[in-house]
Amino acid sequence: MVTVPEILELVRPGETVVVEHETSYAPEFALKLLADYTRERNVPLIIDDNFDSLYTLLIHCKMLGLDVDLSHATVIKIGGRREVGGRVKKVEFHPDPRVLLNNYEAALADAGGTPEKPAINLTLGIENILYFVRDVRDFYRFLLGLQRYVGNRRRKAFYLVHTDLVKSLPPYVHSELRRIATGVWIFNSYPTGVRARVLRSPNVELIGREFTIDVGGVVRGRG
Amino acid sequence: MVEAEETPLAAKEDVLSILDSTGFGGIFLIENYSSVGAELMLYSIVNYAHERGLPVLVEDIFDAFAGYVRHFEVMNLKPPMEHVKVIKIGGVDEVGNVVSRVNFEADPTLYLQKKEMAIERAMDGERYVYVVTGFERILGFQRDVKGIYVIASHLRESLGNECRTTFTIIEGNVIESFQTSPLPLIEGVATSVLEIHDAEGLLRLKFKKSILTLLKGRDEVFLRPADVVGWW
Repeated sequence: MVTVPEILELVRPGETVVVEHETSYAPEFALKLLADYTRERNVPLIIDDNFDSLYTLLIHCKMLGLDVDLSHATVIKIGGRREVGGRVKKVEFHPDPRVLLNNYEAALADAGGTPEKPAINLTLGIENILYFVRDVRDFYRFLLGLQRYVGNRRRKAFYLVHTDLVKSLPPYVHSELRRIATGVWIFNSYPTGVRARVLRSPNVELIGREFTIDVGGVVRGRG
Repeated sequence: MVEAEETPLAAKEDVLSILDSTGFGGIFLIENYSSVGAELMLYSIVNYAHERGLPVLVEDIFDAFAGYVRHFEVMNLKPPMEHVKVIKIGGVDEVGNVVSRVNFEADPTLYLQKKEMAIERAMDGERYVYVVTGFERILGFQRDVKGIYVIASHLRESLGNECRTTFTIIEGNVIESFQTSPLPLIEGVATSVLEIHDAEGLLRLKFKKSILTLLKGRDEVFLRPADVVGWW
């Protein structure tokens, strides 16, 4: 078994990792583990919260008895109404990806992270944006916008993506998301944790490796 | 994924603790792929609420609840119904204590607003076990992804509402036959997700997510239908 910090150290600054999961508490666990890791190590944490995804996860965490402290996090909020987390920066949703990405760029500018101390950037609910992207041209505008952040050494980005949700979108969406990513991790949950399989990584020794992240111990249930 | 140990049959206490695990503010999604799983879960929920002294409010979408209750009759099941109120969403078959009727609207925003008002009136600030039946039908009537999205967002809004512990019963085979299955989106919002399958005379309850799997390290249990019938 490896520890979460060990796994995160294996991700290089500038990476965009797509983390694919099925219906499970994998997103809740990821949020909890990243929040703890960044707070303990004084690493900047940026959460892209698309359409109240973060609120949903925090409610679930509360019901699981998972204590998630996000006071140190910057939350970039696109759409939705529930402002949760540390410093919240609102980005107005716009159906035109060019406008949306422009708005986003401005919010990200002073969100933290340097090449020496890259931020962890957790992106939640990106499928919700893809839902609104209704034609191929807009999809590529959006995708190429995301691709421009690949290699930005101020952050290590993790896009949490629900596999079945992405697969319900036009078939090229899933493949293209994987294509622009530098890393692809597949999360399979088991009763008390998550098994992560590395499908793609710039660190070729990691390809095909499997990690087990057990969280049984941190869950205490509702008081 | 089951660990090597043997999976025993669930007892009444196990089912009660499954139902208890959602808690107020939670949304428990029950996806039925089995023959009698939906009826027996509904039967268990109504009895569970009665034992816990909690009133029940049923959202009966397009007569789904009426259908289940008619099955109760031929199955010779007699759940207590005096603590159960029903809000009709569309449909014509008024079974149980119908307290409100909401016409189906093609625009989900309108239907959701009217429905919320009906719920507020029926609950009147009290804590309720809230049961949704026929959810797949309202989803099936949506003409585009946006309609589905509006319904999912509304579900998200009600997450954490401590006046309700919500059980949404969905017929899995129906919803999966839609061109674009809304299930992953809805599952993401739910606090607990349970699938029910037939398994050689038993019902297999498979947890896709549940606090119980974390606490007990097991993500499936089996139910013998005759046991459930005998519990109440």
